Amino acid sequence: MALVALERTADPAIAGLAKDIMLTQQNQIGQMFGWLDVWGLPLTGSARQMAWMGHSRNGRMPGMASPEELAKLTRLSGPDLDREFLRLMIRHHEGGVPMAEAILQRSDSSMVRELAGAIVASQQAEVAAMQQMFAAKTTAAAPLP
Amino acid sequence: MVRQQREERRKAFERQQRQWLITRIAFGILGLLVVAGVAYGLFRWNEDQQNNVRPEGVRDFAYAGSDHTASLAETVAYEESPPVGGRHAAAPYWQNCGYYDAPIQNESAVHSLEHGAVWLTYRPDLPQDQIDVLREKAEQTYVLVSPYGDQEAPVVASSWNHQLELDGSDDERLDQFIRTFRQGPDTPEPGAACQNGVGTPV
Repeated sequence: MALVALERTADPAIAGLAKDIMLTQQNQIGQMFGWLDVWGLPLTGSARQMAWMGHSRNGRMPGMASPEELAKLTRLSGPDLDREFLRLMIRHHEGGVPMAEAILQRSDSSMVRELAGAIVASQQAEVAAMQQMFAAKTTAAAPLP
Repeated sequence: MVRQQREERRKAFERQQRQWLITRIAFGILGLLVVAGVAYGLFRWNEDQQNNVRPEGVRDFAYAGSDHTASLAETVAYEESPPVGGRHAAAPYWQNCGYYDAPIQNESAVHSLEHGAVWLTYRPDLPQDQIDVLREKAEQTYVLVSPYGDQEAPVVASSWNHQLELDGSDDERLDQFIRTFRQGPDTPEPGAACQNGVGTPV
């Protein structure tokens, strides 16, 4: 999502936000892969995807954009692209918070807890910032869908 | 005849002795190398353990992250000089890590702190050999170095919500600060980049 926005947006604030999100998340993915490696664990568990969170989620992470939504994003441009990107990314971030909170309830590892705590705090703040940006792009001429 | 045989046996024996000696020397050298390797490994591990300690004299603060200015034109009146956190420039205006020989914008440096960088600032009158020490530290990842006119101490080390005043760059607490606080537990956005932002280190 961020890559699509980065390549197609005309708004430097959206581009900056997308770049920041992309770089940070890739690094954090790397950190978590590294821990699994050092712990001698496989990158994919044997249980059903998302089973760790307890209740049935049909294998989907909360807040993930569907392939159809992503395809739609690549067809948009201008303020429509920016608004749709913000809408999807807000939902994506809001999905990340329950995941991080779920691991905080389950893990004793201090380094896992530190990362999860930082993710909760920073993603909540980014959601607030994105909601402000979304509101600024929604005027009387282009009302909320 | 017998003497010849005895002679040959003696030579064979001496040859065998020589081979044993060579073998023993070789194993001795191998053993020494192993010991040397272990000793060196321990030395480096101990060096890291020495640095992996919170240095004395660090001041702590309690700024929350993600408070962004509307544009680069907006400047923030920070309480600390140099700043250790608070309101700062939005993405992608974090300051690329590395060494700078001219002052950088506070609001960008603070964004780099939010990403886990350690910012080492030096008073412009710091002796060149000490500046060179800081410049070398800037070759490490997530280290930002720049001159700062309005600070009292010759060298100040800052990370998000932590700051240490130093008399010079030869203080052993400098490495301890970097080790403890770079990408440390108070980093609001661990893993965020200190490249692909703004600024070109020299």
